[in-house]
Amino acid sequence: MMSFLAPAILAGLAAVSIPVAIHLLNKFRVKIVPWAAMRFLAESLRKNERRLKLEDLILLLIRCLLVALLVLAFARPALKSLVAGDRSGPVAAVVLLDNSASMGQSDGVQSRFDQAKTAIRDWLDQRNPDSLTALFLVSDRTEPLIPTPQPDFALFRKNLERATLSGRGSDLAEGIRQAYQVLNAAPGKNREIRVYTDSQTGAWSHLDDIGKLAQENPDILLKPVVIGKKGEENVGIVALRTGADVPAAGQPCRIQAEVANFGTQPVQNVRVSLTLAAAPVGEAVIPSIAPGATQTTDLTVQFATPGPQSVTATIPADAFAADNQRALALDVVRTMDVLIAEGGEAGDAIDRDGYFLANALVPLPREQAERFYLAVKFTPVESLTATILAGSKAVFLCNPSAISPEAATALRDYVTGGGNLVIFPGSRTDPDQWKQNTVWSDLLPGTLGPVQEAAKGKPLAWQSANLEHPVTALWNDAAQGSLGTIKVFRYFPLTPKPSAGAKPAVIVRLANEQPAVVEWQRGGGRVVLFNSTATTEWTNLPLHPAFVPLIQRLMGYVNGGNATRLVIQTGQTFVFNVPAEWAGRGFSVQTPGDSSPQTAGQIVADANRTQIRYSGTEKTGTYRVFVGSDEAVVFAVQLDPAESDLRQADSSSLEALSQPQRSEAGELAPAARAVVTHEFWTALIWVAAALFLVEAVLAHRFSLSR
Amino acid sequence: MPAQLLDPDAVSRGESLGLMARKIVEGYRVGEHRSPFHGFAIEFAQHREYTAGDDIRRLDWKVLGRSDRYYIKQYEQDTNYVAHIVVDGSKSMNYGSAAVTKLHFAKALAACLSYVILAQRDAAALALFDSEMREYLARTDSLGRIGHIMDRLAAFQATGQTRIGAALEQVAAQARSRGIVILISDLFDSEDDIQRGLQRLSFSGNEVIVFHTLDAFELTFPFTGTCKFQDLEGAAELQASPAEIRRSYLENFDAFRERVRLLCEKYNAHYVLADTGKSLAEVLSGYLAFRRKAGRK
Repeated sequence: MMSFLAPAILAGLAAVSIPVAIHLLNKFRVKIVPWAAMRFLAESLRKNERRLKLEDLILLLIRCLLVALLVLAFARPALKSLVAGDRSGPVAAVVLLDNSASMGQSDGVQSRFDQAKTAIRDWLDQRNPDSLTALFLVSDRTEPLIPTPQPDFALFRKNLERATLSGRGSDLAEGIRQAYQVLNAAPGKNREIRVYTDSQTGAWSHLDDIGKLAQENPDILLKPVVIGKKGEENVGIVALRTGADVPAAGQPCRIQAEVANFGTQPVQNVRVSLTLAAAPVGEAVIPSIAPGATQTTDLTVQFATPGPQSVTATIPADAFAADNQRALALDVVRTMDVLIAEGGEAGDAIDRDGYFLANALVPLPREQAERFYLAVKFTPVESLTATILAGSKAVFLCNPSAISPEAATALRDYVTGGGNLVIFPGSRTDPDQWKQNTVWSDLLPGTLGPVQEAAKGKPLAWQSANLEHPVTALWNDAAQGSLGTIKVFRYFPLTPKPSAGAKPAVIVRLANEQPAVVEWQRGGGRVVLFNSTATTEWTNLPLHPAFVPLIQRLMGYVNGGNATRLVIQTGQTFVFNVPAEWAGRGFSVQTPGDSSPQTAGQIVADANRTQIRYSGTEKTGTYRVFVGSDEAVVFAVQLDPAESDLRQADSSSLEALSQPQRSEAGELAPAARAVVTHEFWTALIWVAAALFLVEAVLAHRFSLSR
Repeated sequence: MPAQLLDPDAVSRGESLGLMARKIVEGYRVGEHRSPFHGFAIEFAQHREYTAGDDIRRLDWKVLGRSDRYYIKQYEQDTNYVAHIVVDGSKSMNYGSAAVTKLHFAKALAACLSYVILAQRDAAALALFDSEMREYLARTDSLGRIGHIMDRLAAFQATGQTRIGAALEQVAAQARSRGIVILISDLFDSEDDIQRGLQRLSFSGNEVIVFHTLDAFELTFPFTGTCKFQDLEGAAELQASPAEIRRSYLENFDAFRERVRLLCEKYNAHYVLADTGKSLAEVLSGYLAFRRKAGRK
């Protein structure tokens, strides 16, 4: 903002009229001279009139400009910045230090977190000794190290030194809101919030809310201090997960790693290495990743023993180290029990509703089935109780008739507790009865309509392309065969439930666009609903070559849901169900980088479950939980993928935050004032001097030419 | 001779003008015994014996050397030439940056010259003109008529515009015998007219002397500020800042003087710049000294 420190002198601009007045006076103050040698005079005037007028005009303009410049110089023009309050006096300040993972980005010497600390120390050194300061660490949560502004600078410095970088995501809004709260209760005229951040775009995702807070608190200055420059390149692993496989001992397991390029240049030959217990077990090279693109690569690992395991994917080092590694924890099973509950009477093996299903789940000869990781048990639907369900990873309901309220309740508890339920309706199924059982119908991802029959000789096929669900996406590749040859003769029209919470996902549709299979998450488990039978009664699905891989992939998928409980993001609380008899026992946790486990807490129990709860998940990596000396579980803490995107928010919108707010009448907030940042009078004096020289030279030259 | 002798009031009265002219001329003639003006048509007539009081410069030294006898050479018409003094009386001559105008200066110069000429017993005629011949005093060789000449000069007032060509033609017509024509003017007329007049006089066999009478301000143009120049000979007015056009004016004016000088050379006329800022005696003595020197050659 340009203004004048001595604006009264601007009245002197009227002096610009002096050269004009002199010029005019000279024109009007005429001496009468009787003259004889008139013709020589007339000749001279005629020859020079135009040039003389032009020269006069040039000199007049220069002289006016000269006077104007001198007046402006004496009025002391200055560039002012509006800041709230007098910063030279004591202030009450809340310092917000961003300790999200992205602040770990290094310039080769210092991380941005350390740079921010240095900047805060520099700022503190210049504060008036009577100032009050508070210190908050902000990431996706706010941690007040000094909750209210205190006069003790030594305390502030000590807490600043203690502050550590976290592996958390970024969201500054909550920290800023708390800072406003604190300062509104703080005394003093000059209050400010200073936010030291790398200004990731995601950190300002609630910029509108922050702007509103700034508007509502015009007398508190909000000053974002951006650490680091724009344009840092970054390549990071943004996801690491199992494919649609169940991790089982002795079985190959596919691990998918997603690598994203957040920079502006393409990157070539990104080597992704996979380690299991610090030993390399696989490697893949991604040939090229375009700017802003993500590439997925598959790595296969075979676990020798069952039990909790952790694999880590690594890419070559860059300036931001936190996303160059990503850990994944898996519960590798030896065997996994699957329960098939049938609605009908048990007859010949081939006539049983679960016959094809059992063979698809264990697709091996009987003598080899023992070594397979899936173990199938049968039970009638009517006998489903919590006890029978316990211990099974998945329950398949085949051609169930009415579901009793008790069975429905047991199944609901089973699913919400982490079990998985797959339902194949059939001739015995009564959709109306299902609807009446609210516990049961609430559990299902869709509703079934009255049974439909395809026109004779024209069975309905499954869709053959554009498959989006992870279970069926494999068949988008024609080399894997086609689901389009699966025919359905009779079926229940299946309608996914509209839901505000977990949304049902369609695994596959019929060729007429009606869903054939839908699924959703309920609590800790998943529910999958087919629209036709698991036998050849209504469909050729059990005989189709895709049936076995479809069921295997479905098992992997629903089990993957269980596995996701072993992977959390930084800051989340890890919760794990353990046997009830462990209640009250202590557990210890070996965090990433630690060589031995440290006592972390006690196993808690309530009426329904016994759980390990651990919330000290600030670092990314593998955490090992021990109960006594036994390793109970391994879980992985992963970085929020948004932290890998280091692009900075638009600086102009941030600068707007630090501008003092104006009232509706346009007046600055009480504590706001303008501070001179640059004065221009010396420059103007120099220009005026130069102009004076020009005027002198021109006047001399013009007079010579006359 | 001090310049202040040129008192404007004095110049306006014939008696005073005469007195002033006499003072100037006598002052110049102290110790001088030879007129700077000589007749042209001087032809040898006879010898006569020297008697006391004769000018020894007229002794025939050759006869003295051969015969040791003193003879004086006598010439015909040795004093009978006529000098026409032609004074420009146009309004432009009324200009004077100081109290003395160009006309005052011209009158005084004419008076002095008349005195010199009559004092050496030559004949003088006086012509005053502007756009036409305003006054013409016929030739006289009597010094007693000097008072009359002075009265006419003093009483003359400038009117009208300059027309030198016509005036000089009339003078040429009046000067029936060859003589000297002395023109005192600022020559602010068309150069063609000036040339025609000089040509006419020159072809008539007259010796022409031009006293180019100019004011010091006309020669230096020292004005400042803004001036409205009013034409003395017409109604024209020009407003200008003299400082802005001084250089250009002086170039024009000097070029004019140079052209006039070249015209004079062309027609064997003597060009004398009469700067009214200088004293009359200085102008006069300067020219007479030149004349005397030229006469000895």
